[in-house]
Amino acid sequence: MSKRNYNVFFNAHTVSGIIISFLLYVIFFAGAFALFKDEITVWEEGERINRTAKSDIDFDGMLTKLDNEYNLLGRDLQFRFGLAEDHVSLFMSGSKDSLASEKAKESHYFITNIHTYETETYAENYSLGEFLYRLHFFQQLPGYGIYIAGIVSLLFLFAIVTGVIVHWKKIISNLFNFNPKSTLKRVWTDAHTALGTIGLPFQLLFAVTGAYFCLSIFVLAPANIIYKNDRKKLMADLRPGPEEEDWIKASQEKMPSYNDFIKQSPKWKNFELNGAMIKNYGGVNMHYIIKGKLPDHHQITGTGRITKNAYSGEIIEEKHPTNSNYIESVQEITHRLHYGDFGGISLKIIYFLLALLTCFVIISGVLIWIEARNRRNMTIRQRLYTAGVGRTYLSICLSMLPVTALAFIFVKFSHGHFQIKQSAIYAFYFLTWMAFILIFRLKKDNYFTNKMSLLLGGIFGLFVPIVNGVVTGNWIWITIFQDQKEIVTIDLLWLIIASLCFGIYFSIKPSIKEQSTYAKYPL
Amino acid sequence: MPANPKHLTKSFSQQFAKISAGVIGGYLLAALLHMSLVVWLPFSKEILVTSTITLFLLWCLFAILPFLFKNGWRAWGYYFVGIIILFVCFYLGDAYKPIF
Repeated sequence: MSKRNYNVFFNAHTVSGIIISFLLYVIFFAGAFALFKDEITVWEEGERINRTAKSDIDFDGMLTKLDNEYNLLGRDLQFRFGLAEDHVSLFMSGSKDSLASEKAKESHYFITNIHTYETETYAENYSLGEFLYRLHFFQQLPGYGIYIAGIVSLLFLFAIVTGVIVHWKKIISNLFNFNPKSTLKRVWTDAHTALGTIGLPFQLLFAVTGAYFCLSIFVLAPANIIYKNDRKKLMADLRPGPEEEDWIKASQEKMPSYNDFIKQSPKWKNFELNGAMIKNYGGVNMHYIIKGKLPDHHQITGTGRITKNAYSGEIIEEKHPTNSNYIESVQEITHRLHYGDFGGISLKIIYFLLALLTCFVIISGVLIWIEARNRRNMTIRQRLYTAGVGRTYLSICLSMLPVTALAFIFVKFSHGHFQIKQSAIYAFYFLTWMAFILIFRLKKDNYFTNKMSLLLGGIFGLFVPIVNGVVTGNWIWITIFQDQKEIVTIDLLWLIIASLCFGIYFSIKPSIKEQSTYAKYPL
Repeated sequence: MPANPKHLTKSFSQQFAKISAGVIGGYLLAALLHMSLVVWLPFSKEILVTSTITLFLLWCLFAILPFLFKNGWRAWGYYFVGIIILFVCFYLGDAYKPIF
């Protein structure tokens, strides 16, 4: 590669990396916790889970209660089964019957308890898991947040490719060269290359799938042109599923039991239900639908579904779960690779560690940028600017650890005290984060920011399982004994994070400051 | 360690040309290439689904290439020719054997 091209790629890598750095850090840090979204929700509720088989849920009882409250006639209902919670989510469309009242034409989304049938709205059921999941594509900025996340993903892809080109020759040597006693600039560079290489496949995966999830419009636009704007046909081709049925009229027959349908239908071996639907509730063409898949260790992609006429029991559409095709598999595998939900808890822990490793690569990239731009031949204004940007980035990124730990403690104490939990979590998380950023930024000392974040992250993290035990009585030794995997996972996760924090905190000595260019050329 | 500035272009119009060629031209190239493949090759639905991944990879590649040019407008020239060719490819394919 010519000298010019090397420098051009180098600059492209630096600029794209610096633009996205702190946004990408937020995405990966929040995303690391979002892997455990369902576990966090269960942990937060703190109630013992019965692990009722989905086919044992009394849907008829639930439907009778909902019918009394919302008048289900003419609606489409869509159930989704959570992984382990004793809740199902339910989306009901507005009634398609033109004679229905205005109230019946409103659509609703609930989270319903499968034992008590109590319903909660989205904002009431909101959890820290949901918050961190949404934060990882900036959904708190309504409307455009997801596009920012998409652009960050694209720039991330750009930075990965240019980074590989730039570092290609040094990848192997840097891996063995690592010397933590060298100057800080060297340390950050070597770590950046070595860890960037180790995490490369993982990061590439997230850059591409993330870009697709957030910016799918760029794929759909060409597809729409090919399909001459026939969106219905496009969706039917790309996401085959039960077809939409128009409402005809209400049926006079007695409502057939949904419980019986669910119990009889999945005749496939090992079939796990993950969703159910009712189309045209109470209509002459009412359809009962179930969806599901095989366990991950049997087959990683391939969904199965059955659509039956609710009255005659005649099968309208059926797809065998082993009968997977390319079109559906590509979309499924994209999701599953991104969510890391195909290998149980151990795979999620690997994903979690790789996400934190990526956070380190991002931070070390910023630190190289700061260290390399503090030289005597640069004007004092340039140097002050670089240092200022660096401090801001570090205060935003590093403070996420103690703030997230505090938020776990907050939701444990506040559970049940706020009607609209969503606003409470928003207010707490963003205000604390803001306060931390301000303090760290005004202190103007990256060493302090780092040490304090680790120390507070460690202390608060250690308190997470303790507070959980005090507030709900779910001490680790009790939940392990009760086989409450989800709660144990979160408690152990924080214990591990806290011990890592303390370990790193005590191994960083003030003498390291001398290795910085800021010791050599102080501002 | 920062890239040696003597190899980098400082002219705004050059930077603009390269970035816009990469972002806009690169996207159009990647999208039209996939659209042409969909209309000309068998397995059109499969190609369409594959484009969810490959479109972003190609876009990224086309966003990098203009930086190799000394003159960014020359890159735009090549991209423009490529876009026209691919558009004609897609248009003819769509007209002679429309999928839908």
